[in-house]
Amino acid sequence: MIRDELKRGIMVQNPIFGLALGLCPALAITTTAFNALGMGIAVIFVLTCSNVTVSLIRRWIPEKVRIPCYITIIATFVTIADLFMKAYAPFLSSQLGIYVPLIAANCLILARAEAYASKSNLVRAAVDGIVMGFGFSLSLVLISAVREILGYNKLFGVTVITGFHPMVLFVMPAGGFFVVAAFFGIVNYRRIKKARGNP
Amino acid sequence: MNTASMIQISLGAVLINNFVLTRMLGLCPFLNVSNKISNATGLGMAVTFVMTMASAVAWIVDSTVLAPHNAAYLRIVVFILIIASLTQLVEMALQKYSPALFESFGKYLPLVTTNCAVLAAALIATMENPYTGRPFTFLEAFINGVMSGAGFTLVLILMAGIKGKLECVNVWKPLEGLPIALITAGLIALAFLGFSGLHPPIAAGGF
Amino acid sequence: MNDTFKAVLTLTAVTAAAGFVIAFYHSSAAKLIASQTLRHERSALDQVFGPGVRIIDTSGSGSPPIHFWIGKKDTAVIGYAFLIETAGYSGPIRAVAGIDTGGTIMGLVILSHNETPAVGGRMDERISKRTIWNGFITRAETLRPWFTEQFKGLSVNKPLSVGAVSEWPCLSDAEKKELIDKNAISAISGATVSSRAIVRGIGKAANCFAALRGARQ
Repeated sequence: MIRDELKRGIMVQNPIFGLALGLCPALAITTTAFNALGMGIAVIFVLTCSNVTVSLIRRWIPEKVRIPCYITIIATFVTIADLFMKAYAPFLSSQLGIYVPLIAANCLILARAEAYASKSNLVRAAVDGIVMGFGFSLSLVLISAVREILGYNKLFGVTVITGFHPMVLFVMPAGGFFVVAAFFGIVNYRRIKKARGNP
Repeated sequence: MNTASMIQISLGAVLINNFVLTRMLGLCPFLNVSNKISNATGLGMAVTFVMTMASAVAWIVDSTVLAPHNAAYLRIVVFILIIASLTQLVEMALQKYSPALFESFGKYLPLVTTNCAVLAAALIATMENPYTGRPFTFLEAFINGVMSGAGFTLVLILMAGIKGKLECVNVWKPLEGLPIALITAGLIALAFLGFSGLHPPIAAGGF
Repeated sequence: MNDTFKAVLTLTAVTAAAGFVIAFYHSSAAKLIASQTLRHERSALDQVFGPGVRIIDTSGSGSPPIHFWIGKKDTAVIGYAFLIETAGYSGPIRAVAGIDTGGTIMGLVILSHNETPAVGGRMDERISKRTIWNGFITRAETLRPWFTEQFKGLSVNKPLSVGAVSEWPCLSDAEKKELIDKNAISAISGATVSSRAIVRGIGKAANCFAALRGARQ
């Protein structure tokens, strides 16, 4: 069951490439793999905790105010994650800057809370949070690995190829757009090929 | 409040640190904008309106309620709730009292509420002014909100116009939809990179 | 119970709970967060003064008021460190500059900046011989950014200038010596504004240093 869930989070319902949710951080902070990893861990934390909380109190939230309630819960965990980062990982916090508070406005977390956690029991909501968060982090790290290698000639801060002058464009916003477009193109290509293969 | 500072903030918000192309915020509406320029303008106006309101109210709440009690850590929760409720209120008020305005941009308001661009505008209004190193004053925060929205609208209109042209072109199958929109955005971002040098001359000695 | 009333009550309860949780966590993390800036400054000061130096904090003096520290070994003053803040390309740059009693720069550590990543941001760049292929074999190195290292040994008694055809790591030994004799540094290519901003900041520290030295005599 765990393997199926993992497969779902990473491949079938990948938050970035499958559901196209949470694109803002995907483009903005994926300049180095370290940033992507940090952001990914923060999102896993927020997603899991908010899923669990929403699942716990789902019977008591009236229909009318469910979105503001979910938003408040998500914002609470984002604040906790932000404070934790400022206290224990100040370098990461200064690199990610304003994008950690902006996890609160990430459509992925709200969508999972509304579409899944509010209708499932505790365990399934928690597993969903972890699995989706993991898929999200994996995509982020993949995108940022490409951008960091092409743009800085480094991976996690360590040089990759000596003497290679990197193309700075890839760590600029324009490069982010191009790299993510390339990833989406590859995903679409495989999807089309698969669709053609099974008439 | 001198004009030089205002020009600095305006240029910064519209061209140099454009919300979509440099800070990469508010991408959901930007990538999914339709190819009609009237829709893009309506959405842009809604975003500008909400951003300005959010910046102003966030600044007021921060300076009167949060800062005096050293409660800066409550910013995220407070701001996001303010934005969500204010947009609801404004939408209802527009619907009731000004149907003309509601027609032009009121119906786009729900799309804007949990947009990261608006939350970012509110947060930026309470951080320090990058050009002077001091916190934003109310007027500076207000102008920043208006101009950030203006920059957002500008890019939306550009995108809508280009998407209209793309309709008449054969795009390679795998790139249809989101990828070609991203590539277009990347090319516009590349063009806007040229604006990053548009700084007013630093006075002798800087600050 | 009325529907709307229930809705309002729930929302209020959730918000109140959220507030309590955040405030609770903040009270336990606040001290650690506040100490991070101090810790950062502290490590910069240690880097600039070197080991075994007693560092004394003072309130600002000089014009404009500038935050500085005095470094003493036993009872003798060996130098001063100044907290400088200048306008960089896209925001303020904060750094700590150490100047010894003779007016020679002991070191420069950049605390924070907001410069564009691959342009002005290269003032943090460290040249390393490690790659991912041999990274696990070679020992860890403590590297300093070449841009700030080249300030060491220059004098603040003469004006500091920006010179050189290419960047410091690409210069030959003779060219490096020439730069030091001219009391000049090599700028980051493509980041003239950031480089000049740092030089301006050192100029401010030099003014304060001159005022201090004048006051002591």
